Amino acid sequence: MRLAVLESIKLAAHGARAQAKEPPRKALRCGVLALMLMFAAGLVPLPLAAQTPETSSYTLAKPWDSFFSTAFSTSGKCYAVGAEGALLTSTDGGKTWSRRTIAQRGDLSWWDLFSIRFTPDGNAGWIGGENGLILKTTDGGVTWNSQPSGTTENIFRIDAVSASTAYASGSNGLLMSTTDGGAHWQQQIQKSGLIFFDIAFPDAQHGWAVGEFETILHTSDAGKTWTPQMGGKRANFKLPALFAVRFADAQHGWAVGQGGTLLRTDNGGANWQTITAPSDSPMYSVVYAGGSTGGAPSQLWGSGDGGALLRMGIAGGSPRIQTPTVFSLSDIAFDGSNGVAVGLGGTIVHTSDGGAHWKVVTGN
Amino acid sequence: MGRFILRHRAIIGIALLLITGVFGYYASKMAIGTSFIDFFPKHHPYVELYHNYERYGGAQRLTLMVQVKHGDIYNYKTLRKIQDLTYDVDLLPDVNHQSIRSLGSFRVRYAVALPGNLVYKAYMYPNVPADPAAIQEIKRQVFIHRLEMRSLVSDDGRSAAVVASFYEGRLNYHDVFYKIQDLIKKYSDDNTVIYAAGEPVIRGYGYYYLPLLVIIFFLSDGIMILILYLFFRGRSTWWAPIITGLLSTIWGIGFIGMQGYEFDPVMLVIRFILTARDMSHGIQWQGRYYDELENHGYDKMAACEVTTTLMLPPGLLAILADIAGIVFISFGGIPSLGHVASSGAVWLGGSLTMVFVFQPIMMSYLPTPKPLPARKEKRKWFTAIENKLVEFPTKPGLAREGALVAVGVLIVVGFVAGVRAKIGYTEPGTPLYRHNAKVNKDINAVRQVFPLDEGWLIVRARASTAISAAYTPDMLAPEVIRLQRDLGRYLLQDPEVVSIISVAPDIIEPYNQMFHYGNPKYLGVPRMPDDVMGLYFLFVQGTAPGEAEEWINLNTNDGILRVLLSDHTYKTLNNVQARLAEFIHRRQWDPALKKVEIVYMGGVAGLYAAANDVLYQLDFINITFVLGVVFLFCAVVYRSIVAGVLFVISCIAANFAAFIYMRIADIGITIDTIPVISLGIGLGVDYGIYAVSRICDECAEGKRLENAIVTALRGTGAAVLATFSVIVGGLAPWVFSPVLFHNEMSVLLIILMSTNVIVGLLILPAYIAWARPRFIFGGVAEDEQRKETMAAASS
Repeated sequence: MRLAVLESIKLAAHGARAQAKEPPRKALRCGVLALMLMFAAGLVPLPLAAQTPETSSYTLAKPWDSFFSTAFSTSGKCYAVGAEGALLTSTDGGKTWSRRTIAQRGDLSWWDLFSIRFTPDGNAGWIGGENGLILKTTDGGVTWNSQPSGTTENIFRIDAVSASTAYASGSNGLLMSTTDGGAHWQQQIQKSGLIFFDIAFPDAQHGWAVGEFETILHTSDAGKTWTPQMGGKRANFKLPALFAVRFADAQHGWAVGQGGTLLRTDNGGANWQTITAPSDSPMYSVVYAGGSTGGAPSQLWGSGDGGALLRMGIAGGSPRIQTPTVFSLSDIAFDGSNGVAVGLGGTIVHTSDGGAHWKVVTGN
Repeated sequence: MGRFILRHRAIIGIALLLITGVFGYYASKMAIGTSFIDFFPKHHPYVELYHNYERYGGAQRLTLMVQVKHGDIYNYKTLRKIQDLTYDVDLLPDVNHQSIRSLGSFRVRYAVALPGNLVYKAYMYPNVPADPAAIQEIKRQVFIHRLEMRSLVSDDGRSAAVVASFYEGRLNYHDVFYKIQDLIKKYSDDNTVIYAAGEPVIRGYGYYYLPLLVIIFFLSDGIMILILYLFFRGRSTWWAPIITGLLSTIWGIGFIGMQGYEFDPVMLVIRFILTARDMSHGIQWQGRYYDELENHGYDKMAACEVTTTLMLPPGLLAILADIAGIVFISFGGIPSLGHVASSGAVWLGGSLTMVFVFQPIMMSYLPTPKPLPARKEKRKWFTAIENKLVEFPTKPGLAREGALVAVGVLIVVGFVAGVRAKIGYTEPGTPLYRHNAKVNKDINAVRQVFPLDEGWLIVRARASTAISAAYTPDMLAPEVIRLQRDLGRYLLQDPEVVSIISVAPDIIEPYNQMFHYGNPKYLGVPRMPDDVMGLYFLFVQGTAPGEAEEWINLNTNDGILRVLLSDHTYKTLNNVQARLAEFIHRRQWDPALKKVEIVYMGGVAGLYAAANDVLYQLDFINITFVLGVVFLFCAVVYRSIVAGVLFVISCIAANFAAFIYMRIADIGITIDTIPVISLGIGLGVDYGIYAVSRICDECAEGKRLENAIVTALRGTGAAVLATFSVIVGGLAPWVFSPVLFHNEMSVLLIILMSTNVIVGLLILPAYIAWARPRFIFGGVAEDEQRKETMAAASS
């Protein structure tokens, strides 16, 4: 027992010395308390990591984009429109493009744009779209303002004759015209209810509209009355639909459509001659090209299914097909040696040598 | 307590053996298997959505990728392989025949408009064309429809996928896995490689590795037994902890069998930890028993009684902490964690009963162990190290105070790492197996090309409708279809969203175009409700029975939009959910949302997102509760709030090391890792409890604190080190497991055990020696207790 007491006295003395060397306990206790408080704060579940969606990796065109129409306004300046308000602009003849979105339907929703055409001077132009949408520009495509169309049908084409006069065609028998720059649109609805995919007016009086059941309607009084040159009523489903029509003047014109249909007239549509197409693929668009400035065109181009581009001389000769892409090309436009065709799969193809070579800008 | 147990040792012993017999019976009924759905929180809206719309396919999706080394797939031989493989997948057990899709499937088609006709064409069904021109046409059509075909044929044309879903619940992973392996062998050749990905393959690999896992299990058991033998130096009853460990294992496994839970091979490591815990408590008891035998002149009954009385309070405390660690993981509502929690609690309860009740009874019946021969002189260097370690806590100075500060720093760093812990899977592929394992190589090869994870958005009509010729159901209203199209396109802008499968882009729009002479301007949603309904039923007409219900249900009350994702990492899932929320928020103006609601997110991606939602909160709630229990029990047992706080801090210090390791090793908090982390918290505190209790006991016998600490560390400390060695020795073979989860978790546990030993044997005693808390001296000042003890001794 005595030994134990002695031992404890020794240890007590050692403890007292040890205590003198220790750091201030208060500070350490405060530190421990602070650490505990930090932990306690950590017990409250924290919000998950910042939920910011990543931005899109697509810029110009997405694989699900559909471009429906293209047109040159002034020299070198080209536009294309498509689904979901897509409006693409090129200032170098179609080599490079920028994109914006117009015609908003609501947040995160836009109307589809089916057609873009400019007047010959390139300043005025119209866009026709879904649900009766009409947009007009008077500054070569920089700004676009909506116009009341008075219809909810889809407008597949607006052909701009001048800044004041334009003609439109669309779904469910829709044919329309304006003579006051689009402030008012007069409808000439066809009772047949046929879809008119295209309309062409080489001048303010003479025009042709094409559509389902191999229909070609003609007017020679600025759209007041329309008479069928072919089709015109719901008939045999095996009759091919006509998708596009172009006239160089009131006499010479072409119409193309389903099943590789190629029709030509040299007498204002009194007779339509069938041209043997190189394939039975549908053609969705047709355009004149190749003429010298102000002169008569020398070539005819068509764009169609599976990326087909059809080329033939106006004077004659067999049509030839090129396929720079596999995606259907909805529309084609030329300005001198620059040519642009647009289509599904976000496709834009471009030529700068009059169509000898085509380069895919987007879509592959 | 010890006296009571020994007085009724026969009755209690027989009762315990009978209970063990009952558990043993149920243990024999236990099935080995994996229930995938049990890994996700049962009541989470995403999981409920998954269950409610299971008819749209399950998470058990298999993707077999046929990839050529040279050239592309567009040749007769490879196309034939794709088609034959499709047919063979159709023969796999429990496959959903409606779900099989590939380039060679008749369900994968495109439509062609001809004048007066609409033709649907399968790409290559029933026969693969041998004509090169026809094969080139297949290639061309695939490219044209690449948006829809992206989930089946790669853009570069080198790879094609055969995709199938299996019926959840009745799927036998073992059988399917081996049949898939046979298919891989059958269709591989010099130029063709077949990769397999998907849950049936991932879970199936568990069976593939099972024999190796069993070897590891027995190897680790062998190592544990060897260490145990060496530690007790071959005394006559050295094996007692093995018996008690075995019996409590029977309780645990018996409970699993009784409840009808399945024993998942991948979760073997958790069961192993529980076994190791049993043995650890047994060793503590046995070590103290030998000490008490020496103290009581080899009177085994006295030694049993004293050991039980002294060891029961810290043992109870330690096991309750273990149970708390495991019970709270069931709070997240994840069934598999619930099973681990309930069976683990019973297992540990068995451990408590076996070690602290059955072990003394068993030892009382066994012959008294003989005294050990005198120890040989220890080596000098060993003695020097041992002295240094034992004296460390009692020796004031820079080292001791520095260590206390270092622990503070560790807590801060661990806290930061814990808060920043990644939730869910951090890398593509499965974290269950090693990065270079065949399964992960396959998954990564497939995910480079094809989406592997599918999230479901359910579009649900607000008002119930029925099919009628006079009325277009809300599900087929044009604005509803358009809403789905816009949503899909919005999601597709996220690079991780590979493809969207929904009625809008895959049926209504292309059919609208085809129905209108193929004109591109009609590749959109019709304006008139009748038109949409007409197109949809045109599609339905051409489908096999049940096929149309993969898109919209029969009553046209709900439909599905499938979001195909490249992986199910936390980042991807978070991003998709954020996009969805943003779209729905910004689209509130849309009248379509008055007709339908968009509910997300089902599918396998939804399941993982649900788990992520729960796990983060579960982790913190779990830690909070466990620490709360540690605080409460320690405060009650030691009758001191300071004791409670002290143990909580030591617990935090030791276990936050786990967060630091997880941060460094890039391990996320997942369904697989959370039980291990939770168990680790309970596991670690044991060492401290045993060490501090011994210090209290020694002080109560009148020793000065410094002496008490030295004695406790030489006695209990040695037993704790033995326990530590046994567990670490047992864990070591798991480091070499082919299962990455085992590897990571065993390393994590070794780190946890090491930090807990350091904290329990060095830091806690150091703090006690420095702060001299009153609870160590029975709640009175140190001098008072010593006076009382000396007075008692002298009287």
